Amino acid sequence: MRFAAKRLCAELERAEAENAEDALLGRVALRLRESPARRRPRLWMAMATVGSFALVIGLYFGRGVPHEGEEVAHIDGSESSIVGRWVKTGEETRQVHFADGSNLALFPNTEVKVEAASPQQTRVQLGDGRTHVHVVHGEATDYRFQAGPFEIRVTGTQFDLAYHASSKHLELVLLEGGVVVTGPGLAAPRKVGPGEFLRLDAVTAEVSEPGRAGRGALDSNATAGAMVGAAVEPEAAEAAPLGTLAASKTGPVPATEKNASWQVLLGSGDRKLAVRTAEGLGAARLLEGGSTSSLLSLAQAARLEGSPRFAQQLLVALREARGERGQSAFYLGKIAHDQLGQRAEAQKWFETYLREAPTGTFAEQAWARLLELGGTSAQGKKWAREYLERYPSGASSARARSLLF
Amino acid sequence: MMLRSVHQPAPSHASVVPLHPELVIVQGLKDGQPWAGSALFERYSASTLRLLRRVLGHDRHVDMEDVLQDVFLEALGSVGSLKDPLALGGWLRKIAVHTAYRAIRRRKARRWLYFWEPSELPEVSLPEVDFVARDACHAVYRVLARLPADEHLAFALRHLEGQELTEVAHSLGVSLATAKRRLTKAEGRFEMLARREPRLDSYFDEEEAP
Repeated sequence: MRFAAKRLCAELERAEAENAEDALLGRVALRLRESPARRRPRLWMAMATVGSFALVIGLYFGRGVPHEGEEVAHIDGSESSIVGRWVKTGEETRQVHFADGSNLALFPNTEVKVEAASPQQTRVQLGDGRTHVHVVHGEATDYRFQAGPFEIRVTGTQFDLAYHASSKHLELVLLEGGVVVTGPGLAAPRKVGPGEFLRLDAVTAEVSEPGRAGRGALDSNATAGAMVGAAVEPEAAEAAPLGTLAASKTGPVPATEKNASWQVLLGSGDRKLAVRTAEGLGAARLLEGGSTSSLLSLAQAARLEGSPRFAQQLLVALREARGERGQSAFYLGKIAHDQLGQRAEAQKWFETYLREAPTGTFAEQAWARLLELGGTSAQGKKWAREYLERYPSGASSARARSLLF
Repeated sequence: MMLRSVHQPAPSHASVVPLHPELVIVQGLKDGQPWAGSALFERYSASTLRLLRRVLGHDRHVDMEDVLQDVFLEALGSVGSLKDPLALGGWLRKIAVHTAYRAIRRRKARRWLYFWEPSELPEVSLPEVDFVARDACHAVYRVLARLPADEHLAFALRHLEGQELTEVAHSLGVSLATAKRRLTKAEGRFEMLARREPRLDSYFDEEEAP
């Protein structure tokens, strides 16, 4: 056959690598856990389908264009509204647009539901993850964000909001405007102003305010929101899954301030200087005042700018202090393997990643790294078998076979 | 069998690289151990999903969650018939292929229903995505959808999933000779139909594929 199926396969591989399917796997696991009974086609479902034809046709032709004031929120330019549905990003950043021009930039692995999006009120539930929020101010603007037991009320502002469902803690970095937060640990509604960074724990009801985020944090994070859909540098694109994209070909923030903070420098694309500035502060101090997404970006920048030990320190600190899991382990393995030549350490982190994210975006790469580390040893052969079991025609399948046969 | 949380304590299979984890999982499933279903899903769900995607593509009319769930329900319900626990992976692939076959048949039977587009999340539209390649992939699955279900499967397993001929035969549950015959027919038909797809023009300029 003259059809180049091999080339098509390679393109499929690439497309699949870009489309993480963790969310789908998670949903199916949940379905199996909650309702293990076999789904069987039911007669009433077929009848209902046929019966609803007339209704659908009527609606389709009778409806025409959406009515003014109709509740709509679109994701990434899609025609269908996501109001009333939970959506979860994979390893990619997605953007939700509202009719009034407001938008949310959803970071990787973020779960949200737009419960209502009417001119009177917009309600968004943040189940897990991080989002950069930009609410356009209007006379009747009323945006409410629910994150676990916390509620954030907004009239017109920009902020970064993160909620970690596992540890039940909330992080809020306010960029512009003002919001009011209610929830555990707050005796009265708490007003948060520009530059403030608030961390709340729903379990211990502990409130921490490590200090003002400063204009630097604002720029760095604001860039993330503005970056969705823009062309990015290859290295920045590689850095993207871990958090905020640090630099863009379009719209960099000029670092004109003297003694600019590492956030400003990172936002302006001067990664080298940002890393040097942050290194001077040390990981412990950085953790006191930086949001998790900006610190993950900083770690990526350090890795790419030849400061592997600093990147390692930051990632370990984020794992220990902020409970970061998954990709941080993969990158720790990569740093140990590629930059520090610590093979045992690399093995430990790749194994950790596979425990934490067995079906994650980098799972195949982690197995391939283990193959490389194991070589022809008995352990290496075991990994080769494991690899082939999972990825019989994966990128390293030929290598795995060569180890076994 | 009901799947339990993966966070529950599990026996020795919990390490990253256990010795013959298939034995432990199959025994656990046969004994009705609650952790075994989760272990099976955790270990094989990603590769099974990948296989299903290769065979069925990203067709919006296929609910991949349903198909994947069916694969694991079938596996959990029929694990008693698995004689060689070490063949767990291959056995599960076979179930996945048969489930995909049923999905293709269902899709063909219900095609007349699909004249409106259901509301769904759009595909990821990152700037670095190669749109030409993506269109070509869509075109390939459009062509495959016009093939008989058994030829669709044979072609997808051989050329998109990259299985050896013997693996294709095993997955389809037919003899090697039958698999070869089916594949030859599928290739001929695919080539004829694919030549009418302008988006696949560039894929005919290569040397002969194996």
